[in-house]
Amino acid sequence: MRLMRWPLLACGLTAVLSCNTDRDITKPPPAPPPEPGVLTVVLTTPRLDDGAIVFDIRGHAGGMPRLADTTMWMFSERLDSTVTRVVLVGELHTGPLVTFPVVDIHMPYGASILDVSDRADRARPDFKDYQLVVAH
Amino acid sequence: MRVFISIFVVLSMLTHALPVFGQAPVEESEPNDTPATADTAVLGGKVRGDVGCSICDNDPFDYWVVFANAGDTIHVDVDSCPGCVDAHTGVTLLAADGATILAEGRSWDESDEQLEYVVTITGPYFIRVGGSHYGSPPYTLTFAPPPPCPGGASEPNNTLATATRIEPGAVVQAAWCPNGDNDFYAVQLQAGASIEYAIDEYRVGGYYGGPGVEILNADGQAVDFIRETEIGPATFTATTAGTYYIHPWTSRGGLNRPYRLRVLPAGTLRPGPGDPPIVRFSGTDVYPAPLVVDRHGNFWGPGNNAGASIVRVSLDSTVTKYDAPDLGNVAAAFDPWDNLLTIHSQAVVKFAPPDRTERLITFGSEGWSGLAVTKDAIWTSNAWTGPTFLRKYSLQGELLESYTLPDVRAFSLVIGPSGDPYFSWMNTIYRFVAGHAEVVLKHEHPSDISGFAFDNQGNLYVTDRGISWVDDQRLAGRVSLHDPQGAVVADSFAWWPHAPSLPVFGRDSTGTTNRRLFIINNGNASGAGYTVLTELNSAGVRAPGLPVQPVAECPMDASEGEPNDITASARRIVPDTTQTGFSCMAGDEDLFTFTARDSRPLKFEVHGADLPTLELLAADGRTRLAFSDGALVPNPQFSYRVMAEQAYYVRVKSWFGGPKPYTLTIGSTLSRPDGLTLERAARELVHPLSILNVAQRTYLDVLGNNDGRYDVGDFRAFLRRESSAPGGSK
Repeated sequence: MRLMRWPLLACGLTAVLSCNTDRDITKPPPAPPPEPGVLTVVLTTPRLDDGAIVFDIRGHAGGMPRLADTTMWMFSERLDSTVTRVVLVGELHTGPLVTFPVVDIHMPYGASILDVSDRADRARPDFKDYQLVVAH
Repeated sequence: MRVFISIFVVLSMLTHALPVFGQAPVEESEPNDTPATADTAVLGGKVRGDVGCSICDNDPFDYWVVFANAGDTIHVDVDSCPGCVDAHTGVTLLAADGATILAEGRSWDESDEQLEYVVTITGPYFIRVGGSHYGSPPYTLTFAPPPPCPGGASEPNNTLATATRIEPGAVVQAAWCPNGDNDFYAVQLQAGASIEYAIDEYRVGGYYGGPGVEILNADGQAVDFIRETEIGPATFTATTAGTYYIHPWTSRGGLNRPYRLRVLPAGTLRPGPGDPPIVRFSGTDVYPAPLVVDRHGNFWGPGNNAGASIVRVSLDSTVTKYDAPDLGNVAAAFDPWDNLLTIHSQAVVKFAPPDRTERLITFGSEGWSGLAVTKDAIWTSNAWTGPTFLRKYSLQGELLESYTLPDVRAFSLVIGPSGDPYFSWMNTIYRFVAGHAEVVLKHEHPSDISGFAFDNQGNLYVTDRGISWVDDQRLAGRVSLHDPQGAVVADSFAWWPHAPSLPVFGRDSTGTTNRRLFIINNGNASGAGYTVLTELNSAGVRAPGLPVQPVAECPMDASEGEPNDITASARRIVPDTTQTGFSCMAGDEDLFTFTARDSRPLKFEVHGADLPTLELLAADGRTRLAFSDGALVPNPQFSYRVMAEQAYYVRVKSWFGGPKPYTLTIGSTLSRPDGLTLERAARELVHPLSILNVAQRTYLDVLGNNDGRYDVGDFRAFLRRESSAPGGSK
């Protein structure tokens, strides 16, 4: 009896959790089916003269990124199963940078800036007010 | 040295049957170089011989001996080469001792001499015949008075006192005979009265034979003077009432020296449509040979003085002289890229002022007589030596076609409206089409078509110097206008000048051929090299000239950014890039500008084009910081340390225009380390400090922002240097 009491207590404290026990007390909601799609990495920049950027895309491994603006130059390489690093050169503006296909758009993805230069090849000292988001 | 006549000679003269006048001339028998070996002649007879060069050991003299009685007149009339100047035959009469000079010949029929001597002592007399330094043509001596001079109606009028009196309106047919003959015509004029006066219908008479006319006042002082080279009719206005003497004159009088003198009331000569002519240049700096007109309206022609193979003449008479190794002495044409092509006896040579030449075509020993350029070919002709040919070359100088002209020679090569070459020979203009020469027009009388030019409607302006190649009888030179089929539209188109040649249309400031028609008046009267550039009807002839050159269609390169010929329109670039462009037309300048981000050395380099030059200018666009000449090094290049935030201009200019592109590279002076590729440089950003070595990372940092580490800014600079046009993806 003692062994059965702890799981029941945990389930009672957090109703939102699904509990997989040998004996469920509450029925969890059904898991949503995977929804394949394409996600977009969108840059918000306070500058008007950005010329290159290096950033990482994090999340469940998807397809390789593709340029949103084909006048740019891009190199990308997967670092491991969850991180893809992208080098992108061109006249950057606020807006989409790359797209990449995923097997489930509901899975969590994120992006982070590693390096930015202006169009005179000078490196930005910081990325204050820069933002990268992964959008549907 | 006293010479004794051998008894054999005297006996021979007395006993041999000698030819008399009318019989075949006695031929000389060498050796006859001394009185002792003299050949025998007879008064009234003819002899013939050939004497060598006067300063050579080979036959410097021929001696003839005649026997004459006291009271006889010994006449010696030379018939050798009246028109020769440098190679005449001279005669001297010597006494019986073979040394004492009794009389010397004087030029009588132009260069041919004549002498006469009245004998006072019966005996033998020697005639010594000598040649010039250059040798002499064969001669005939006639021991009889020379034939009478023609045109003697006004004679004697050799002095002011015996001048022939005429009135305004007079037309006088006369002749200068013998050589040295002076003719004076007296005309009475009131103060302020004007006359027009001119001579024509004379022979050119070689370089030194062009006549002139002077007017003398009652005291015999010259008050006006015109020459063949000057335009007319000359107008003279008397300042005081009295007798004035008109004096036509030539230095080459003789049996065949007619002339016509017209003395007209002022304003009575009806002008032609090309009149009045206006002299735009005259002088000795330009040799009277073909002129070409550049896109700025300047004339280019042969130089006539030391240190000036060719000259540029502006319409304000400014003359600029040029000389350079291998530079041809005739400016012949412009090629489609506006390069000036010059010619000398062995080659066609491109010329870029002030001193750059590049040989394009090398002839054999045959020389040349004409050159013309189409949009895709260069035509040359040879008419001076050997068989006459027309040859077609590519614009790069490769021989494409060669034709031999068996019956004609080809002068004044001109490209017609059809694109076919046209040429003149004596009194005829031909069109060369499909490998054959067909007649376009033919002047009826024997003449010398010295040049022609097309207007843009196909009409031909023809200059004719009037020289007959058949009988050397001078007709008045003139300019005539013909329609495209060769029919006469106006003849004479312009009455003056007398010896026109080489018509050429002018060009306005845009380079377009205009309606201004110019001719050269050859300066024979003043000696070779005196040129008068004359404009006919300065109000403009009826149609512009055919464009004087085909204009190339220049390839345009977007990265060059034409027009970029001045600093204000300089193409903005950044270092570590490569630009491409064209120096398509001669003189084209391409300017680029950049602002240096950092202080660092940069290497500048140009490849391609036709002898490009590379120049770095400061921000003022004028101060030269560095320069390299492609004529001296294979690829112009230099290194220069630029300063951060400073603006610079880079100028690329080729000596010659042409279709060959150039590349301009501006980048780090560091050389790229081995093994450094775009992919590896990009992967270094993905895997920091694991793909590249220290040298490679340092190179990229210096190439880029030089901040001590390799970052995406450095990669950006490297990418631009490698591909110059971002847009690919990997």
